[in-house]
Amino acid sequence: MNPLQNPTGKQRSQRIQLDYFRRRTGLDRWRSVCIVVGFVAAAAYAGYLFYFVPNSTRSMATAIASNEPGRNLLEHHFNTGALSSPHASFENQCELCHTDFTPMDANAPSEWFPLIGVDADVSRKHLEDACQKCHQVGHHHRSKMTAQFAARDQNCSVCHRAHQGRDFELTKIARRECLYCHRDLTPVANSNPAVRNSVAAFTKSTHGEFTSLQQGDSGKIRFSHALHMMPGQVAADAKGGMTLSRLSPSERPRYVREGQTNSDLVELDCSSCHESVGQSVIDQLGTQLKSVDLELLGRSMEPIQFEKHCEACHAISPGVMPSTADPLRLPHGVPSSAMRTQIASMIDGNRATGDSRHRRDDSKTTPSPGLGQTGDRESGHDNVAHDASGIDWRATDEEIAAAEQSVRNQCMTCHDEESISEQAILASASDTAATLIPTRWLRRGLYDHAVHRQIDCRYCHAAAYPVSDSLTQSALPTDTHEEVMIAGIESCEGCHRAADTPTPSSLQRSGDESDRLISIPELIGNMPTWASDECILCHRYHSPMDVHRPNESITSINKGTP
Amino acid sequence: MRLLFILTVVTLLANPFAFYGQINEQKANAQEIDAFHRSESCATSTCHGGTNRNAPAWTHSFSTHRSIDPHATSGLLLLDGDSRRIVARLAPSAKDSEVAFHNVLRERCISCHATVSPKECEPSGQIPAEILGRGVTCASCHGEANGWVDQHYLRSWSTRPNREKTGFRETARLLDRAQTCVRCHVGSRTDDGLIRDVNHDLIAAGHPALRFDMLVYHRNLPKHWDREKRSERELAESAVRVRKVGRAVSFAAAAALSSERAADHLQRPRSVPWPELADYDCFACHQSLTMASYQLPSSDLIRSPLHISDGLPVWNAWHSISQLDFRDSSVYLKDLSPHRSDPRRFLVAGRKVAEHFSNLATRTAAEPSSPSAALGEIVDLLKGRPPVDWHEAAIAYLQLEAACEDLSNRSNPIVNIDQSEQTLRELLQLLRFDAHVAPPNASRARSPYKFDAGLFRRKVLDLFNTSPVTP
Repeated sequence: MNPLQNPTGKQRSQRIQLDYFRRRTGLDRWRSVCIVVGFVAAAAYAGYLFYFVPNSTRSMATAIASNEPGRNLLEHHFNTGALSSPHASFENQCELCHTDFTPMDANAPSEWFPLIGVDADVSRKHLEDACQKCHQVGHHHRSKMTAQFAARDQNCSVCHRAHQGRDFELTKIARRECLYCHRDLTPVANSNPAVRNSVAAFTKSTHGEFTSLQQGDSGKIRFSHALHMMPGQVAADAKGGMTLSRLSPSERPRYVREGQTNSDLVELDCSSCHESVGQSVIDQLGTQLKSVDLELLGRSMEPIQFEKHCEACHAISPGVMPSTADPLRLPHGVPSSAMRTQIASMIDGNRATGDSRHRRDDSKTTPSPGLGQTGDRESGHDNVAHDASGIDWRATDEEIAAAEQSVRNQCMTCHDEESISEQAILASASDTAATLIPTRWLRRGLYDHAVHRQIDCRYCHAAAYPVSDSLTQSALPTDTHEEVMIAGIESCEGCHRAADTPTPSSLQRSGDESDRLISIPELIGNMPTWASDECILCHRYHSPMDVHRPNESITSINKGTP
Repeated sequence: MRLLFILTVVTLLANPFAFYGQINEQKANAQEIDAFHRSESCATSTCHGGTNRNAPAWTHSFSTHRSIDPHATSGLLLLDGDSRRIVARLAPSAKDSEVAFHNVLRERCISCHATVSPKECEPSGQIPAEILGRGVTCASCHGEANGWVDQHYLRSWSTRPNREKTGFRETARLLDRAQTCVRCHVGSRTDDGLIRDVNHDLIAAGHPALRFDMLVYHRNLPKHWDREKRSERELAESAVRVRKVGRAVSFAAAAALSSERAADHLQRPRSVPWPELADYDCFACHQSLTMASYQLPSSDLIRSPLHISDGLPVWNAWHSISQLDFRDSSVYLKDLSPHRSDPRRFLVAGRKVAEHFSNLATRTAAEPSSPSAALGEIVDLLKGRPPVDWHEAAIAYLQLEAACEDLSNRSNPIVNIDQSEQTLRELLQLLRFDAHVAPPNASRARSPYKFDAGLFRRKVLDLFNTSPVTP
C-alpha cells in the first residue's frame, strides 16, 4: 500500500510547519522588491519632474504660464499639450473633439476593446464632424480605400496633430504622412488605383511626369504663342506688323514700351495677356495701394478675356470707318440676333453721322459728261432722295447678312464652328460656363505663380517663345493651341529636391552658355537652387465639398442643410 | 488703219475659228473655280479691317471700302425699283416670280454688281443675301486670293515674279488698274469666266449705257490705299497720261468684247443677239423725231447740223473717237456697221483692234505725256471744225480738262487757271443731257438732244483767245 495515497494523521500534520508564518517566502521577497522599486521609481519620477521637465519644457511652459497665470509646471506636464493658436479657444472644451475613454491616436489600444464599449468609429466621426463645422473639406478618395485606411482618412488627427503647442502648424504635413499610403497603394486601395501605385520622392523616376500635361490642351482657341511673341506679331520676313499707331489712342499706353514711338512695332510679353489673379484690383487701387492689398495677388493667372487681352488688335468690325479716333467695335460673344442688331445700328449710325455713304448715294467728286452729276458728296450737296421712312440709309437685310458673314469669318480666325454656334454662345453667358482656354492646366497639383515671381516665364514656358526673332513665316507655327507649353517635372525637380541631393548641373552656371540669350541662373532670378520637396507644396489632401450645389449657399451647408 | 483691216480680213479668212478655242478654254478653266475666295479673310482687324483712321491706309482699306466706296453697295442696287423694272422688261415673268427675278440677276447682273464665281451666275434661284450685301469686294479687283493670301504680306512678295500666276491681279500700275476696271465698266465675256456684258437689250431695258473714263472714275473712287506711295504719285503726275492710257485700254476692252460677242453668237446664235447694237453710238439711231431731223442737207450727210449725231453708226463711238476715226473712211464704217454685219469679221477685227490698242496703252503708259500737245490737238481740231457730235465734244472736253489740270499744276502755268476752270464748268454744263430740261424732268434726260456744238467750239477757242479757221 502506498503511504502517500493513504497518509496517516501524523503525516498530514507534518505537511504544514507550525511556524510557517514566521518564515519569509518568495512572495514576501517579491513584494519587498516591488515596494523598493516603486519607491525608487517614484523618487526618480519626482526627480525627473523637478529637475528635467522644467528645463525641457521651459519655453512652452513659459508661454502657457504667460497666457494662463496660476498654473504650475506640474499641471502642464500632465496636460496633453496646448492646442495651436487657431484652436486655442477650444482649450478647455475637450468634449468638442473627444469622446470619453476613446483616444484619438490611430495606434491607441481603443481599437482592441470594442467589447467593453469603446467604439473608435464613434470617436472618429465625432472628431470629423467637429472639424467640418469650420473646415468644409471633403475626404480623400475614402470610398476607394480599404477599411483600415478609410479609418485613417476619417481621423483628422492622423495628419493634423493637436496639442502640439501654440506655434504648431496643423497644416504642415510631413511627407511621411503621405508616403504612409502612397509608398505602396496596394494595401490601401480597394481596386487598382487610378494614380501611380508608388510615389516615394519628387523625382521624375519615382513621381512620374505631371499627369495633366500628358492629357494635352483642351483649349479651343486657335493661337500661336510664337507668332504673338514676335515683334509686330509677324514673321521676320513679313511686313504689316502691328504698330502702336494702329491701336486706338486709349489702348496704346498699355502696349507702348519705354522709348517707343507710334511707328514702332508692338512687342508683347507674357504680362500683356497673362495677369495674376488680383492684379486688376491692384491696378485699380493705384496710389491707394496698401501692403495688405498685395496679398490679393494670387497664385494663378486670370482667364484670358477678349475685351481685355485681344480686342486692341483683334477688334470685331462690320467694316465701318468712324470719324472718331476710337474705333467702333462690335461686342464679343453675343448671340447672332443681338449681333445683327448691333451690326445694323453700327451701319446706320455711321451713315447718320455722314461717315459712311448712303446706299443709294451716287454723288461724285468729278462728274462725267452727260449723266452723272447727281450730287457732290464732298461739298455736302447730296441730291439723293430719301423716302419718308428713311429706309434709304438704313442697313438692309442683305447688308446685315453680308456683315454678319464677315464677322463670322473674323470669329473663325480664332474659334471653331462649334464654339460660335448659337447654342454655344448662349451657354457661354452662364457664370459657370467653362472657358475656351483652360484656366489651369496642372489640375492635380498647385503651382504658385506668386512665390515663383522671380523666375523668368521662359524657364517653364520656353515653348511659348519663338526660338529666334528672325524666324520666317514658314518656320513660325500658325496654331499651337493643342500644345501644352508648360515644362515637365524636370523644371521643378532641379530645385525641389531632397536636402542632401547636390545641385544638378543643369542649374549651375556653365561655361557653355554663350549661345543662350539668358543663362539658367538668370532665368531663375539667381535665386538659391534648393527648395523643399514636401508633397504639400503642390498637393492638397482633401477633395472639395460640393459648394456649387444649386440653390444651396455656403451658409446652408454650414448649417447642415441637405 | 488700212493695214489693220487688211490684216483683219486675212486673219479671218485664214482661221476664223481659232479664237473660239481659246475663249472656250478660258471659260472651262474658270468654271472650275467653285469656292470663290471673297473678302472675309481680308476683313480681320489685324489685316485690312482696321478702323483707326490715323493708321496706314492699308490697315483699314476694307473698312474704307465698305463705308464709302459705291462698289460696296452695288449689289443692293439690284434690289431697287429701277433694277426690278429693268429685269421685268428683260424677263416679264420676273414681275411675279422672285425666283425668276433672281435668275435674271444671276445671269445678267451679279457678275458685275457683286463678287461671284461663274457657278453663282447660273440660274439657280434666290441669290444669297450676303452676296448682294457684299457687293463688289476685294477679290473682284485684286483677284481670287486662295493662291496668294498667305504670301502677299511677305517682304519678298513685292519682288516676286509672275505674281499673276497665283491669281493675284496687279493694280499698282496705271495700265493694270485700267485693265482691272474695264472688265466691268466696259465689259468682257471671258475674263474670270464671267459674262459681264451690258448689251443693247440691257440698255433698252433701262440700264445706263457705259461710257467709262478712267480718269473720272478713278477720281471718284474713294481711295482705300496710300496715296503717297510712289506708284500713286507717278499715277497722279499726269492726268493726260491717265486719260490716254485709260482710253486706249477701254477701246481695247470694247473691241475685245465685240469680238467675244461675235464668237459667242457664232456658237449660240439664238441666245447671243447679233448685230450687237450696243457696239454703236446710241444717238446715231435714237434721234429726236422732229421735223428738223429730216432737214439734213444732202451735201452734209456726214456733218449733222444737229450735232447730236450725224446718224452714222460708228463702231464703239465713245472709245474710238480721237483714237480711230471711222468717219475718215466709209470702207471702215461699212465693214463695221450693223447693217449686214458678219460676226466672223467682227470676231477677228475686234481681236486685232484690241491687241493694237492694248499695245498702244502699254507704250503710252511708259511714255511721258505732254499736256501742251494734248491741248494743241483739241484747239487745232476745233479751229478747223466744230465737234461732229456730242461724243467728240465730250471726249474733247475730257482731254482739255486733263491738259488744263496738268498745266495748272506746273509752277509756271501757261493757262489762266481761274478762267480755264470757269470755262470747263460751262463746257460740262453744255454737255449735260439735262442742260435744257427743267428740274423736275432733268433726271429723265438721257440724250444730248439740244447739244450746241457751235457754242461748245466757241467757248473752247475763246479760252485760248483763238478763232475758227475759215475754210
